[in-house]
Amino acid sequence: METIHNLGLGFEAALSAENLLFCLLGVSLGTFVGVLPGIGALATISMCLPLTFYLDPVPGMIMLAGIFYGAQYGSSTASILLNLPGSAPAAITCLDGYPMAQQGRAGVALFLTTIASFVGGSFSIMLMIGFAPVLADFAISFSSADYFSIMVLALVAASTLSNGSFIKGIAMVAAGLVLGLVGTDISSGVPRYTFGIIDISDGISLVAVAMGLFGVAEILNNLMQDEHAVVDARSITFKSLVPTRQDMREFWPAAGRGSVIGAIVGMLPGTGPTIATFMSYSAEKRLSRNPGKFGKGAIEGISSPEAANNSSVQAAFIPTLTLGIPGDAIMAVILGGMLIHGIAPGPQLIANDPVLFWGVIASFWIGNVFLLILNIPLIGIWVRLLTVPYHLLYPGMLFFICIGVYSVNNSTFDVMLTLIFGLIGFGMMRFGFPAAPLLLGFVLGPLIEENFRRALVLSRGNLDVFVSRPVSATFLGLTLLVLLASIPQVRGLFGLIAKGRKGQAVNE
Amino acid sequence: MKKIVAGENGSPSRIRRMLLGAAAIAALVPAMFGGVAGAQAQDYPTKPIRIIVPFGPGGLADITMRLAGEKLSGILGQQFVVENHPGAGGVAAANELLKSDPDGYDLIVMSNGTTIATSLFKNLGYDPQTQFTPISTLAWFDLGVFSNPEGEYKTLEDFISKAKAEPGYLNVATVNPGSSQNLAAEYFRKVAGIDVNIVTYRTSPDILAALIRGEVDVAIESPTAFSGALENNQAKLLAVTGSQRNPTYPDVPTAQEAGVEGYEVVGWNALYTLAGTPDDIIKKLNDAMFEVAGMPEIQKRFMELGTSARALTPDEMAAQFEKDRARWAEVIESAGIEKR
Amino acid sequence: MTDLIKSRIPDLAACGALAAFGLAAIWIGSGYPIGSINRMGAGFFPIAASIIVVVLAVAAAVETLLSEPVSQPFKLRPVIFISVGIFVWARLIDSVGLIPATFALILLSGLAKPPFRPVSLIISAAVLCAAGYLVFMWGLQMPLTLLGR
Repeated sequence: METIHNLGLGFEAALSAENLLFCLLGVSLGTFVGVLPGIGALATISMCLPLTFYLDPVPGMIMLAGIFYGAQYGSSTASILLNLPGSAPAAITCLDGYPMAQQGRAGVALFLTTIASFVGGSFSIMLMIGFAPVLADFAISFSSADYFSIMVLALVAASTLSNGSFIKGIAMVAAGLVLGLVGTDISSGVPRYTFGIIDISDGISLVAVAMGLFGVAEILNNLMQDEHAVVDARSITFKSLVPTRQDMREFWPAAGRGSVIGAIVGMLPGTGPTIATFMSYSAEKRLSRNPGKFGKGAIEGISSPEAANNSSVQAAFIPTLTLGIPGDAIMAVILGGMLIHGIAPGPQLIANDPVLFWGVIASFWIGNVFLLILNIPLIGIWVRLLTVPYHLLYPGMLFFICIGVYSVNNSTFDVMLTLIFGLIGFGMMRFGFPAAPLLLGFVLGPLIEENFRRALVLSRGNLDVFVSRPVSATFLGLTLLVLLASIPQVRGLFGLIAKGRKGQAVNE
Repeated sequence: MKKIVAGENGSPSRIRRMLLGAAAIAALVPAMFGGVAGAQAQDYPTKPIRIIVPFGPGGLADITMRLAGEKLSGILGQQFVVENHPGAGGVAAANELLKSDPDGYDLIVMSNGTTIATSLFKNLGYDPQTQFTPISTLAWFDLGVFSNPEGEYKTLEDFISKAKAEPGYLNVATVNPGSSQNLAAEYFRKVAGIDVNIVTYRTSPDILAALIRGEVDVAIESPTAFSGALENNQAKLLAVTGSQRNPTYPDVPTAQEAGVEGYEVVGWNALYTLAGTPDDIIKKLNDAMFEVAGMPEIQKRFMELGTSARALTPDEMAAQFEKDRARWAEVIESAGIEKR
Repeated sequence: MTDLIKSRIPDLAACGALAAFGLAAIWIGSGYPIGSINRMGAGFFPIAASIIVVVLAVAAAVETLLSEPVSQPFKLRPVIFISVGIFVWARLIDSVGLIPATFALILLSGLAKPPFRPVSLIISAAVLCAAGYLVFMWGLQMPLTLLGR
C-alpha cells in the first residue's frame, strides 16, 4: 500500500511541467542519437552533463536517463533498414531485422521493435516498483564466480547464433575472445598484444569493431553486386506497416522472454545490454520449434532482443538508485551528476526523499510512453529512407560511421580500426564466417577471464568456488543442460519422452 | 632584425638616407617586438582561453576545472572554455596542446596521474616536464582505506595487525593496475611491511560491491568516489592517505597517525601550458589561480566534492611533479608492474 | 585431388588466414607469464583461446573440402576506393577539418560504384557537412573544426 502511495506521489512529481519537458527532451535526443551509428548514449550524456549543473537535480536526472533508454529505441532503426547497427547491442537486430526489410516488411519490423522496447522497459519498471530493494541486494550478491558462470552460459548459448557452419561460428567466438583480450590485462597489468600502441592499451574499441564488421563490411559486400534492390516509394502503404495476426502471435511470448532475460542481465552491475540482446536471441533460437527461420526475418529474432535491450537498460537503474552502485559507465555518469547536486542515491535517499526516488521511476514510464508516441509516426519517415538511391545512401552511411566512431574517443585511430575491421568483416562475409559470434566473444572474453581469475584469487586458489556457490552452480548446471540439448541424440531422447507422456495422457 | 647592407651603387646622400632610414627602423624594431610582448602581457587575455582536459566530462578533474574556469573568467575578463580530450596516458590532450602556440591561450590539465604515466608507458609520445611548463595546482585530494562497517576492522591498526598475523591471506581491492589507487596500495603494503593480496577491479562501484559482499577486507579508493557509500553507511573510512586529515572527515586519522610511518599519497590536478610561454603571462595566470583557490565559495564547493583547493607557485609545482614522478617510478619498479 | 583444392582456394585461404592469426597469437602470447589454472598468468587465457582458434580453423578447412565450392563475383574497385576514402577522412579530419575530409570521403567512395556522379555527390557532401556540423559540433560540442586546424 505504501508503495502505491509513494508511486502516486512520484507520478505527481513527474507530471510537473518542468519534469515533463526535460523528459521529452531527453528521450527525443536519445532516440536521435541512438539512430546514429557509433555515437551513443554515453557520449551524449557526458556532453549534456555540464548542462544539468544549471538545472535542478530531478529534471536533470530525468533528462539524462531519458537519453539513455531513448537511445535503445532508436538503435535498431538503422539495423533494420540498412544493416548498420546504431550500437553494439543493436547488431543482433540486424540478423533478422534486415532480412525483414529486404522482404518489404521494414515498417512491420520497426513497429514491432518499438512495441518490444516498450514492453521490455515497462517490465523492468514494474520490477523496480515492486521489488527494487530485494532485487538490488540479490544483484549485488553476485560475486566473480557467479559472473563467470553466467557468462559461460552466454558463450555456450552464442554457439548457435548463426545459421551457417557451426564450426565457423565457434571459430569466430574464439577469435573474438582473443581480440577482446588485446589491451592491458586488468588482473595483472601486463599489456597484451598492444605492440606499444597507446591507442589500444585499453583495448580495441567495441564501437570500431561493431561498425566495421557490420557497417563497412555490409557496404563493401553490397557494392560487389551490380544492382541494389530499390524500394518503390509507392509500395509503402499503411498496410505494409502493420503486422499480421500471425506476427503478433509470435511476438508476445518472445517479447516476454526477452524482457525477463534482459531484466536479469541488466540488474547485474558490469553486464550490459550487448550481453542481454545476444543471450535473448540465442534463447529464442534454441527454444524455437523452427530454428531455421532465424536469420531470415523471424519475428522472434527482433522482438526478443529489443525487449531485452530496453529491459536491461531500465533494470540497470535498480542497483544504481537503490544502492547507489551504478551498473555501468553510463549509470556512473548519471550518478555522478546526482552527486554533484549533493544527492546520494541509495537506501538513505529512498528513506529520506521518497518523492525523488519515485518521481524518477514514474518519469521512466512516462518517458517510455513518450517514446512510443514519438517513434511510431517516425516509422513512415524512416522507411522512406530506403527510397534514397543506393549510390547516395552508402557514402552517407560511411560518413556517419566515420564521424560516429570518431566521436566516441575523439580518435582517428578508431576510425582506422573501423576500416580494418570492415575489410576483415567483408572477408568473413564472403567465406561464411559469421560476425555476431565474434562480437559476442569480443565482449565476453575479457570478462570471463577477469572473473575466473578474480574468483580464484578471492577463494585463495580453490576451484570449488564455482560449484559451491549456489548461483554459480545453477548457471553452470544450465550450461551443461544447454550443451547436452545440443547433441541431436539427446534431443531425440527428450522428444521421445515428450511423445510418450502425451500418449499416456491420451490413454487415460 | 633587418640586416643593413649598404648598396655598392649608392651615392653618398643616398647611402646616408638609407642608413638613417635603416637606423630608424632598427630603433623601432625592438620597441615593436618588445612592445608587443609587453602589450601582450599587459593586455592578456584578449580572447577566450582553452583549458584542455585529458578526461571525459563529469569527472573530478573536469568539474573542478570548470568551476575554476568560471572564476578565472571573472578575474581575467575573458572566457575560459573547457575542452575534453580523453585518451590513455593523456596523449590525446597533450597532442592537442602541442598543436598550439605558446601564447597562453591554450592550457592543459596535468595530474598526479601524469606523473605515473611518464613511468608507466614505454613511449608516451610527450614529455610533460620539458614540453610543458607549470602554472599552478588547483585541487588536492587524498585517498582512503575503506572497510565494511559491519566487518571486523574498526581501525587501520586492526587491519595491519591481522595482515601481519596472516601473511598472504587478506585481500585489498583497488581499481586497475597502474592507477593512482593501485599504486597507492602497492606503496602501502611496502611501507607498512605487510603481505596482502591486491585484487583489481574495473571500476569503483565494483569495489564497493565487493566490500559489501565481504569478499575483500579493505579497499583503497578516493573518498569522493565513495562519498555516496559513506553516506549510505555501506563503507567505513578507516584512514586517509594524506599528511593531514581530510577536512570533510575530520575524525578519520591519517595513515601516518595510525602507525604507518612515512606513508603519504596525495593526488592533485594542475594547470600547465606550453614551455616557452612568456613569464609574465604565466605570472598572471598563477596570481589568478591563487586568487581562485583562496575564494571561500571555491573552498566550500571543493570541500563538498571531497577535495581541497590550494595553489602553488610554478617552481613549487615543478618540484611536486618531480617528487611524485620519482616516487611512482620507484613503486612501479619495485612492484614489478609492467610498462605499456 | 588438386582440383579439389584448386576450386576452393579462396575459402581455404581464409581458413589459413584464421589459422595464421591463431598461431601468431599463440606465439606472441607465449611471451607473457602463463602460470597455472588456479594462478593464471596473463598468457594463459589468450593461448588457450588461440589454440581453439587454430584447431577450429583447420576443422573449417576440412569442412570446406567436403562441401561444394562456391564462387562469388569480386570487384577490387569498391574495396580500394572505400578504403582510401575512409583512410583519407581519418587523416584529414584533425588536420584540415570536417569539410575537406567529408568531401574527400564522399567523392572517393562515390568512385567505388560507377558511374561517377560528381554533382549529386557534391550536393550530398555539402548536406552531410551541414548535418555533421549541426549534430556533432553545435549539438554535441565536439572539438572539431570545419576548415583548418
